[in-house]
Amino acid sequence: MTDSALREPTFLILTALATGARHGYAIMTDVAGISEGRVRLRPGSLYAALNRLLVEGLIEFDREEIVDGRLRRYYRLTDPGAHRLAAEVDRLSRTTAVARQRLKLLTEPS
Amino acid sequence: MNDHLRVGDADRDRAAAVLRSHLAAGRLTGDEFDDRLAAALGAVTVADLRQVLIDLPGPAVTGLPDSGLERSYRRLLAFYPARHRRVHEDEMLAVLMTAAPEGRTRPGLREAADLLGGALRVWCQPARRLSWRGLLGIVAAGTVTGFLGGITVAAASSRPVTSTTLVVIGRSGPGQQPVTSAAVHAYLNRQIAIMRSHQVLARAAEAVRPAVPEQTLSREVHVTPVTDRVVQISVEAPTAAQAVIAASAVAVSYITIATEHLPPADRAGVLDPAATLPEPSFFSTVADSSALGALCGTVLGAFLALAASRQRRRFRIT
Repeated sequence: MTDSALREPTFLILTALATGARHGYAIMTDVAGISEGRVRLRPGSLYAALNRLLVEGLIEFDREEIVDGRLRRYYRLTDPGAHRLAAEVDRLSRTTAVARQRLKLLTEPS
Repeated sequence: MNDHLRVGDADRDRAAAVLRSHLAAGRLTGDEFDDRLAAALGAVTVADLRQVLIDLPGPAVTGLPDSGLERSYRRLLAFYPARHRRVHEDEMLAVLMTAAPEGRTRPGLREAADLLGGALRVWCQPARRLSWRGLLGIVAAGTVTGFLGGITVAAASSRPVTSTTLVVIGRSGPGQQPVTSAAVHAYLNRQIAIMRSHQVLARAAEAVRPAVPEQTLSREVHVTPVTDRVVQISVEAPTAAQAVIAASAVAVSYITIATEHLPPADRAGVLDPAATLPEPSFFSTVADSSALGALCGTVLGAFLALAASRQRRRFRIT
């Protein structure tokens, strides 16, 4: 069975966690950075996504910190999460490769 | 609010700024300001900061609890399932307060919508990955719900039964009969009016057991002509037996009142005695609709289980 495409916010969250554990607010700012400001997750959407990824076992708790009296909980990718992201990257790059090749044919008619 | 929580540099700086504004406003002398500033910059806990600002007006220093914004966020977070709140409420609150623009006192419309939307999504997410047993459980729950729903619907929707009798109207007098078509119609309509009259219905209502108020009978009786001389009387009642008795009673009451004075040959008569369509037994109705309900419930449950398992499989095989 082939995997269906990840939705973009999910893809970006997994990407944000690929470099190491991050807490919720850091994921939000990182996702905005990766997507060049196009995808701005708000806390409600972020935690709905994180909750789903936790249930699916793609991410897990890393550690907790208290900063200024506030809880920061860090999340990290699990092995299945990393595999899932890698599979999605492969799929996307195959698709973009085809798209690029066809665009080339379009702009350079033989 | 926990006074033992430790404060950070941001909190100390905020307290210092607040002290400067009170110095500028003339609430503190230069010496007082110096003392308090030193105390604020050396503060370790929330209680220390609170002591520095204790007799000065203004909002809490450390954006910690007590702020109206935080209370508003907590009210919105109350829409999340309890299991989600236990795990995530504190960190979500931290993210919300961190993300909130400076000076904000109430959640924005879009923030509120985002939090409520998130709550809805979390409610719809399974708490954990479903096992095969869980999926079977969903199907079984659908079956049971449908079965019970079917029984309830069958029990609640016992439809009234209609009984119909045909009556030949009497002659207008001994051996007499209206001749012209207009006279025939006028006579027929008069007989129908008599069947619906207070006199006939009151007498019929008395004859019916269990007793039925005349008004009820009047509401449930329908009289329609079939031919020039035959009239159909229909009565609706909760059960077939009651309908039959009521229809017969109306017919007999009419025959007695309208044509008692005539010789037997000229009197009205019952052409077709009251009857009802065979009524399906209560148990067969219940059995039918509960079976139908169970079938629909099973299909729906299987559909939900399939949707859940597809979601699960999508992420497990990577």
